[in-house]
Amino acid sequence: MFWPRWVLSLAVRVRGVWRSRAERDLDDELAFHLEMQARANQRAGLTEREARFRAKRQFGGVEQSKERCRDVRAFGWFEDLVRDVHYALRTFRRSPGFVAVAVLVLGLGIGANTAIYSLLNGLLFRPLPVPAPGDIRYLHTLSTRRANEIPQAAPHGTSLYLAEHNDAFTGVAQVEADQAKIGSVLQPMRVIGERVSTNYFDVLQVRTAQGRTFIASDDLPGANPVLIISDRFWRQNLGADPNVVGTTIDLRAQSFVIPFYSAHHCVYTIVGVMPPGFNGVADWLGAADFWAPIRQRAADSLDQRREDGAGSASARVEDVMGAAIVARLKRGLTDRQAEPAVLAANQHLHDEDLNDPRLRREKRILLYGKQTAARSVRGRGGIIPERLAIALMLVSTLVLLIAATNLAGILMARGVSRRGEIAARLALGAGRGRVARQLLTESLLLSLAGSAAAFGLARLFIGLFMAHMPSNLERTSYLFTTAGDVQVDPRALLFTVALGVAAGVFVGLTPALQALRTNVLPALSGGPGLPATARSRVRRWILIPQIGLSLVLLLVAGVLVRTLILAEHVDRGIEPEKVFHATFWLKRLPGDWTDERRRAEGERNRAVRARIFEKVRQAPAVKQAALTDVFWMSLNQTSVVTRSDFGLGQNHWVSSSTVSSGYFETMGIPIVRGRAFDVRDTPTTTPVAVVCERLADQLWPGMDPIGQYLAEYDPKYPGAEPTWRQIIGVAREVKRPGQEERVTRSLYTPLEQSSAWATNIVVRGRATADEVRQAVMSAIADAEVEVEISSAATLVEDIDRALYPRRLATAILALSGLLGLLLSAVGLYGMVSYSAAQRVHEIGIRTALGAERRDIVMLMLRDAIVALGVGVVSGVVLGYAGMRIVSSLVVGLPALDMVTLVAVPALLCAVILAACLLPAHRAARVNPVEVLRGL
Amino acid sequence: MSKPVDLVQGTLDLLLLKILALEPLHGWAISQRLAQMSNTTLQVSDGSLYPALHKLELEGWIRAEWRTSELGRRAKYYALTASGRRHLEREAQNWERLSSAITRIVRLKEA
Repeated sequence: MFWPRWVLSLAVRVRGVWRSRAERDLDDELAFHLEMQARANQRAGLTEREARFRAKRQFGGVEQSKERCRDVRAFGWFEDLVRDVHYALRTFRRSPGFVAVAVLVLGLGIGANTAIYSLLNGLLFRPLPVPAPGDIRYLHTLSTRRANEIPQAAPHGTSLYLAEHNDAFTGVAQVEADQAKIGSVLQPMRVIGERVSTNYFDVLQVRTAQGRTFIASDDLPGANPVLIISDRFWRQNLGADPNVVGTTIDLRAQSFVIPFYSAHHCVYTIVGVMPPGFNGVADWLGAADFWAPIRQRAADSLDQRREDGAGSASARVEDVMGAAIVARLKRGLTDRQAEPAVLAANQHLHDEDLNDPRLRREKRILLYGKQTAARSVRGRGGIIPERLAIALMLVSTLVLLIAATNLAGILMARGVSRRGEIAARLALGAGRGRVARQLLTESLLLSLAGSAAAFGLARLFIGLFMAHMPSNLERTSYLFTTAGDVQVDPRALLFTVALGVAAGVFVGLTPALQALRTNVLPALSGGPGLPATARSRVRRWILIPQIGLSLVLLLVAGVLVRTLILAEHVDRGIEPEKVFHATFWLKRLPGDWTDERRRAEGERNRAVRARIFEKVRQAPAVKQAALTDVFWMSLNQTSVVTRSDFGLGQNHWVSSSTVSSGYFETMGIPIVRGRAFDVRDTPTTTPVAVVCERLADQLWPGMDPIGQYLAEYDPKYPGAEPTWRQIIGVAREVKRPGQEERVTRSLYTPLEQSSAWATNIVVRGRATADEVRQAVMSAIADAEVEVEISSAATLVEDIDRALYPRRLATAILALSGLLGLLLSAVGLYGMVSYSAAQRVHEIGIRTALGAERRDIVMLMLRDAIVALGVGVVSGVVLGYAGMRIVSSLVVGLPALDMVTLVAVPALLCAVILAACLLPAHRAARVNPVEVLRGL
Repeated sequence: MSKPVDLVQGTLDLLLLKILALEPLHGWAISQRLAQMSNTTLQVSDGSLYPALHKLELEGWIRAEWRTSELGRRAKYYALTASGRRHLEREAQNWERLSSAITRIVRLKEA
């Protein structure tokens, strides 16, 4: 007994506290024995007292005996379990290959699945890591006049009103998306966060990991500005400094007067760090990395506005404190019961709006509800479209199923090969129940080991994926939301482990049940245990779904991979290699913003930019440079009219940009007709423009666009006479990455003939992009003007970032498909080799009777080929259906892809046949003499 | 009289099962019967008897029942179950084989 004595006696004593029936029975039984013995002693001549005394001594230790009985009762099953585990471990040591394969199969299946679920959960669904998230409700306002409007913030007054006049919510807090810049002007970094009311964390019922949450006094006027940061921010930007609480950080704001950068600073003291995984609730800009008090931020922005010369002295802080409302419904209450409070708040809002002259025309209402899993109430939500994510999850579940059937097959084959051992144990007296229990214990141990491996693998996979995600360099693309901390989702892990264990147990039942029915004698002598037909039937039952599932997986994955590759290599209309671009803003000189100032600043700007531009152009690493007013990925919508449109009052929407001459060469956009802008186009010559092919076709179908006229003009706002521009050239279409299906009609106007602010510089380099980056940076530094770089990247980086979601999807699918193939091949290899081992005698006999090696191989493979055939056929049928389903979910897929439909099954067959040929060949090389001797 | 031989646990189980195969008995009676049948060669301490009985009951080879005894108070009577009977047969066969093998060796005449 390896338990320390004191543990045992403690257990016994604990049990002794409750005089259970078992105890009473034990007392009675032994007392009876003692009394019988005493009587026998009396009959032999002793006195009553002596007889009793003698009886006790004859018995030995009564209490000890009772204890041993209790041990038997209490720890009987536990001892058995421990013994089973030891036995299982010894068995595993004898066949390490099998154990390795089984654990690997389970580990890969469960691990890959968990990783995918966790990733998708973290990137897409991002569940709210707060207690009882189902009780959280959100309120925004929506204008009833304009349809399809994105929900807006609720005014501060309404939040206060709701907080005071409700009995349905335990707490009402405000939250609004916020952003700021940190770092130096030449290397600023954009951080996304939330401005919140001080009770925000209390309503959500989350606490900080370090420091404290907000208290009411943090947001009083004049209070010291405080900040709470996320765990990710603390690790990545502050180096996980253990003394971070109490340090300060300077949050600068986005300027209100574009294209100048704001020089307003505000220093915040960090008072707390949130635990990992918490990134706020306001999803529309991205995962939040900081939280600041709302009044403080509002006051800040008013100060900034004033500093930038754009503010009005009479602005009130409360007016810029609009925010979405987040509230926690009291436990047990329904939304119905919250309705009166919401209606009252709505009325309050309506009354307030009537007082505001700007809002009197619009009627706003409060929208109330839970946020959906996709969390795209405002903005665009997750990185991956929801339907694609669901498709991916289905795919990974298929992988798990394959792994499970694989494991089943392996365990069953092994069960067959262990018949001899089981029979021996039965002959030696082990109860059948015991043997079955022991086999189940083995399966359970394998499942647990596999699950442990899965956990490790899942963390590895997730780590790899997170490391390859594009970094958070700004450029406000609301289509791209950065992800919060993605960790191994505990629920996903639990689910897949449960699945794995269930699979292991279920699969372990079969050999256990086999054991119960084993005939000892024939099994002991090594003959065939099961009849041949039963054997192959069982094997086929396992093989076919495996093959079918793998094929379905591969077909779907194959189609998507092909499409994604095509999408990546589509002609974008530009040559992105070695092109670098940067957006930079000057610091505005202080003073009021009058028209006079505007003109003066425009001049200064032009001069500074021209200087920088020249410097850049002359750098040796630079081949070509150009200026433009908008970032190439964004779409600046403008209304244009042709001469005929003008008369009819029609217009067209195009995306326009103002570019310097040389832009087309720098970006690598071919001009297919006419010419690009050059020195001939000055402020005094004819205003000109370049259109893209599609726009030309649309505006002047069938005609030569060169020489035609158009103007930027919106008939809805008739003003001065439009400036007519002559078309001098037609450029190739530019397909922006991630938006290939979108039809963009581009219009280009020359910078020299426009008053637009050219905030972007695009540079094509001779050598590496880094050298170009250096050249631009040093040119800017040399300019001796305060300039802030708000984004800088190469075109290739932009494309990577935009294509990341698709690439992620491809990677997941391709890996899943390959995993499925690998698992199937391993499983089938195992099956054929075990079958070969089983049929050694049969092979020996056949060879002795004159069978050729080839015949033996065919014999071994016959079952496998039949299974392969049925599996492939059913897989193709199901896979075709799967392909149709997936094409309907993802845009841009061909309806039927014959190449994939033929190539993939062929690949599968080749791999599996190759895997099966090895053991088959080995089996055929068996020496019949040795085998026959063994009979 | 020769010294009583101590019994190994496994063989004790065999003996107990055999005794109960003849008729259901309570613990004290089993102990008496054992001593009687082996001409007191075999001695089992009563302290070991009951844990062994409980173990057999746990394995499902014997079944326990509370009945009123000759003394008037209740006593626990044990009886063999069907699986116990099967187990007994197997164990008995094994014992026969083992003991006859040992006997053969021990009886070998020294050259």
